[in-house]
Amino acid sequence: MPASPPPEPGPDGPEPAGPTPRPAEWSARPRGRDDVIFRQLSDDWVLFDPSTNQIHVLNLAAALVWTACDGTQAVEDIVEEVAGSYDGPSAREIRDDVEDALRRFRAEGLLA
Amino acid sequence: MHRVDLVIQGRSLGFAFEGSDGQAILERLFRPYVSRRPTDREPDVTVRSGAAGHVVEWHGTVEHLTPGDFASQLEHIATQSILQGMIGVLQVHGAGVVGAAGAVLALGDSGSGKSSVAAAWCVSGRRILGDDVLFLDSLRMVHPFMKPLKVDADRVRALGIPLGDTVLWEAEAEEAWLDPAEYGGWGSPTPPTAVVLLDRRGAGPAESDCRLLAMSAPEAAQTLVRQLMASSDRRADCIDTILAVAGEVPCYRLGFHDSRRAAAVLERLADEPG
Repeated sequence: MPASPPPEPGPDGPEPAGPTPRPAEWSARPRGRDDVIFRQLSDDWVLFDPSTNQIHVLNLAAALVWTACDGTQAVEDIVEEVAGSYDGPSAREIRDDVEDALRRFRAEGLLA
Repeated sequence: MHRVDLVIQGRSLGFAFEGSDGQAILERLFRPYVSRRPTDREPDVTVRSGAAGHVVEWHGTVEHLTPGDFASQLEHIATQSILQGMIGVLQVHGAGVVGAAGAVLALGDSGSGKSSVAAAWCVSGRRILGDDVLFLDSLRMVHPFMKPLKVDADRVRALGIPLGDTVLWEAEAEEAWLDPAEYGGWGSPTPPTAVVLLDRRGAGPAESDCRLLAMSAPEAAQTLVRQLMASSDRRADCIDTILAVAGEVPCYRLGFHDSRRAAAVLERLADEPG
C-alpha cells in the first residue's frame, strides 16, 4: 500500500495525536462533483477540476475513496470498501486514509 | 466597405473595413486563411477608421483602438474572433517546430520566449507550427496556426533579418512580423514528440543555460492545462487528449538566456526519436 499523505496541519499547527473528533459531515454520504474528471495518468491517478483548471494527484487510497464517493455510501461503507482492496494495513490505518482523503476532497471543493 | 473573409478549421469569419488599410493588413497577416469567395452575410467584425482613430464592433461590443500599433490590435481581435467558438480542438499557448521525430511544443506565457525561439527556427530553415497558438486535436496531432510571428524589432535585427524583409513592420509598436512561409515554411499536422515549458531568464550563469529538466506526467498535464487559451474547448474529451499527451510524451522545462541556443536544443529534440 502506498504511503498515506501526511495529515494537513490545522490553523493552530499540527493536529494532536490520538483520535480526531469527527465532524457531523462524516455521517453523510459523500459524492464527488459530477464535473470533476477522474483518470489514470501513467502510474498516478488524477482529478481534473474544470472550475479551477487544477489537476489533483491521488495516491491509490485516495483514488479508491474517490471512486466510492458516489453519494450512496456512508463513510463507514467507504472504509469497508477500501479495506476490501488492501492486504495488510489495520482498520485504523485505512480509516485514517479515508478520512484524510475526504478531508482533502472537501477542502479542495471536489465534493458536491 | 472592404470585405475580407477568413476560413479556418471549417469556420468562416467576415471582416468589413471602412476608411483604413485594415483589409490589406488582415490579408497579409492571415494569408493562408483568406477566402477567395467572400460571403454576403453580416460581418462578424466591423472596423471603421477616421481621424479620431479606429472603432471596432465585434461580438456585440464596441471597442476604440488606441492610435498606433493598429496592426497588433487588429491581429489580436482577429485572432480572438477566430478562436472563440472553435470546438473539438484544444488551443494551447505555444510555439512548435517539426523535425524527423515529430513536433516539439514549446509552451509558455507571454514573454517566455516563444516568438524569439520560433524566429530562430525560421532563420535556420525549420518548418514551424506557430509562435503563439497551436491546435491539438483528439488524435493528438498538433496543427499549425499559420499566422506570421510577431517579434520585437531588436530581436529581428539580432537574428540578422533586415526589417524591410519582414511581412509587416510596425514602427510604433517596435514589432515586426515574420512569415515562416518565406523561410522553412509551415509544418503539417504532426504528432508531438516532446513538450517543453519555456522560461526565458535574464542574465545568469552560462552553465545553467539551456538544460532540459524532466517533468512528471501530472506536472506536465498541469502545465498543458495552464497553457490552454481562455477560449479553448475544455470538455472531458479534450482533457483526455491533454492527459494522453502528458502520459505518453516526454515533458521538460527549459530555462534559457539565448534564444538561438534554446531553438537549437529544441530542434535536436524534434529530430531525435525518444
